[in-house]
Amino acid sequence: MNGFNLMPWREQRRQSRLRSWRWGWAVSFVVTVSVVLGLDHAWDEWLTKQQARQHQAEQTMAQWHAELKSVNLWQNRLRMAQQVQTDWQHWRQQQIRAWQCMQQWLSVPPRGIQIERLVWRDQQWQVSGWALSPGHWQNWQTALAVAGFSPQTEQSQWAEAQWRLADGLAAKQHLFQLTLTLPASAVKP
Amino acid sequence: MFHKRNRQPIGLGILFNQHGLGLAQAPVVGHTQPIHSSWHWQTFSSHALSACTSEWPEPHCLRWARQRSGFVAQTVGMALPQDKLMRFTFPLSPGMGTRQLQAHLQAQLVPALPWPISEVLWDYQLNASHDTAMIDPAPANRPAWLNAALQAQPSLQAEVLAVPKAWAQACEHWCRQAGLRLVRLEPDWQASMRWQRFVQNSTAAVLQEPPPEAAGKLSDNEWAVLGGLALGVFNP
Repeated sequence: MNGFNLMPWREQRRQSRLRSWRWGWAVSFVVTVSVVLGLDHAWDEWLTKQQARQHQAEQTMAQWHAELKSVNLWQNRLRMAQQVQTDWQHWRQQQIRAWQCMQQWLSVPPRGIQIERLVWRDQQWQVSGWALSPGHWQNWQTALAVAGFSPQTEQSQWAEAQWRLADGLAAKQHLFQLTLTLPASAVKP
Repeated sequence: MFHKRNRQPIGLGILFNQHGLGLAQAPVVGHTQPIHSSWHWQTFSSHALSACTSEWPEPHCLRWARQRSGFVAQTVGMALPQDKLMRFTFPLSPGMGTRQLQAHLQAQLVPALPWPISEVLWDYQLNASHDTAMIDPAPANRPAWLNAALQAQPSLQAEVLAVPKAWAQACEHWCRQAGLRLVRLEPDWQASMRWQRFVQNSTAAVLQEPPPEAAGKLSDNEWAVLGGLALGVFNP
């Protein structure tokens, strides 16, 4: 309790508090501005250093490129990379063609035929497997011919029937090898 | 090698009547010397009395008295004369904030004062009293326990003092002319009570006596008021 004081002490106290608040505001403003400017300056310095470092790295990379261009190994690697880029389209087309041939091959049901090995090489199918009878084999070749495959009869081999165990059952089967070609015009898009 | 400078503020109490001018300087707490108040009494000369036309003594009398006393205090507390002081007591409802309280008291003061509120300096103190007269009489249908609780609840009152602003400004101007700064204007009973409390708590204060040349010029209560004014400048 301050007691009575008829001097305007409340107003003076209010002014004193207002003065303190203004000083506090001014100090906090100055501190805030200083901190912001300091951080901005530090950020600018860091950014400048980073840009200089990046520029130096780019210069070093360019220098290395210039030095590597005169090295034979680099030239060979560069040529190989260009060759790979060039061949890639051809490989890609061959891969697409092989996949289309596989789809076309699978569309022919091998009734009485057991295929052991199927190889796609040099635009040809080399098939080896077992057939139950010559009839089954002929029917299958006819179906392949209808599907667009051309059997190379001079390269085909046909063996006599022999007993063998296939899928747990004993049966007489003929071993065969067959080479098929597929004309480019017969390939379905 | 270096002496610590004593920066503790010292207050000066001033009281005057038609005989002279009394000064009291507040004791310096923590000083190496024993705690004591300093008193000084300056009797007005006949020339000063004849030259004095207003209710205020000549400012050079105050300046001269302070120089003779050797007091160093420059902040002053003075007592309000009874004839200039108006005292009111207003009931308050609890829960009012400071601004709301001041606005309420000012609204209460406006019809009670003989002067416009703009020409008045006023201050207030809050008192919690158990005065049952402020409570409404208990109706018959109110239970006894509620009446007892309402009577036991303290009622809040504001004691308000008001003084003409012109007089306070003249007082401040008088002090400023003497090179002093008036910081406290208070009723004499408040200063006297402060001095009484100081005397009760201080062993050295009871040994103090007014200067012999002031014997009979001021009453014991006025000396207590003077001492309380000096104490109240910085120790309310």
